[in-house]
Amino acid sequence: MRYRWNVGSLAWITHRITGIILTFYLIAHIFVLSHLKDPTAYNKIMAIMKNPLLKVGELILFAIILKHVFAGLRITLLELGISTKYQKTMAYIGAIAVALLWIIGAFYFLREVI
Amino acid sequence: MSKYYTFKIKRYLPNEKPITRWDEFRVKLNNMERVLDGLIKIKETMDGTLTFRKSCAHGVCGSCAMKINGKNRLACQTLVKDLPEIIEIEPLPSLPVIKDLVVDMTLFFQKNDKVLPYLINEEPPPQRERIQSPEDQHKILESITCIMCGSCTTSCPVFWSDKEYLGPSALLKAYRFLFDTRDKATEQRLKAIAGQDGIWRCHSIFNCVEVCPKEIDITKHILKLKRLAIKKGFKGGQE
Repeated sequence: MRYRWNVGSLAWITHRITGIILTFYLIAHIFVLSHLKDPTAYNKIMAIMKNPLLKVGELILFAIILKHVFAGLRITLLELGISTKYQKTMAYIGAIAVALLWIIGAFYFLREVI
Repeated sequence: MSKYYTFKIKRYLPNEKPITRWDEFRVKLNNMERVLDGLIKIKETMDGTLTFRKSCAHGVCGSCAMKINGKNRLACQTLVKDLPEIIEIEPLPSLPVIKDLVVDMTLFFQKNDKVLPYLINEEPPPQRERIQSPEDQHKILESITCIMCGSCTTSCPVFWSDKEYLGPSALLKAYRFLFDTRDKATEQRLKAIAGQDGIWRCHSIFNCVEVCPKEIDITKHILKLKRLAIKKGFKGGQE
C-alpha cells in the first residue's frame, strides 16, 4: 500500500527507526563494556575499535542519536503544549540542528582520528 | 479550458476474476470540475459498473472520501486542475472493501460509539434548551465541524496496524463532549478514551491533520485530551 509521506509521518518513522537501532546498539554497547575486565582485554578491544569501518559506524551512530534526540524534543514540546501550528517548523529546525551538530561533531571526531 | 485526464481506478469486483484490477479511463474535464465530476462521467458514459459513494457533492456529507493520488480526500472537494494528468483513485485504506471504491465503514462507526457520542447531563433540563455561551461554544467549534468522512482514521498509521485503536475521528468526538460545558460525564468519558486503545496510542504523526477536508487540527485536540487526562491523573481524578 502506498501512501503519501508528509513532514509529520517522516519525523515519526525516523524517530521510530532510530529508536529501534539505538536499543540494539545499547545492548551491544553494554555487552562490549562487560568484557573490559582487565588491561589486556581493554587493549584488545580498543585495537578492534581502531577499524576504519567501526569509525564510520560511530559517525552514523552519532547522526542517529542526534536525530532521535531532536525528534524526541519536538514531540515533548508538542505534548507540553507548544502549538501544533509549529510542528513542521520544529521538524525543519530539528533537521537543521542535526545536520549542523553532526558536521561540527564529525569535524572534531575526524581530526582526532586521522 | 478543458483537458484530458487519465483516471486510474482500483477496482474490486468480488464476483469476477481477478478480484482486483486497475482500470484506466480518459475523461475530458474543464478546470472548474472536480474528481467526483470525472467519476460521474465515467459511470454515466463509459462503465456503469463503477461503484462509489456520493451524496451531497458539496463537501458536507462526507460520503465520497477516497484515496486520490496517495492521499485521502473528498472527491467532491478536489479540483482536477490541482492534480497531475494521471489521477490514481483507490478506496480508503485499511477498511474492508465492498465494491470498487465503497468500503465497509462499520468498524469506523463502532469506534465512534465507544466514546459515548451524546450529551450526558443528569441535571433536570431547564424549561427551554440548555444554554451555552458563545465563548463556551468557541471551545468546541472546531471539533463540531467534523463530517465523519473517515479520511483521518483511515490515514492513521497506528490504525493501519491496530484496528483496536479508537482513531482520530472518535477521539475528536470525545473532545467535542469532554470540552462541552453542558456535559457532566467527564470521568466516564476519560475512562472510555484513556485505556490502551485510546489517546496514548496517538504518536502525533499528523497524517489526520494533513487529510481533513474540514481542516481540523485533530492532533491538537488529541494533545489537549492527553493533557486533561494527565491533569486528572495527578489530582487523583479530581477537578
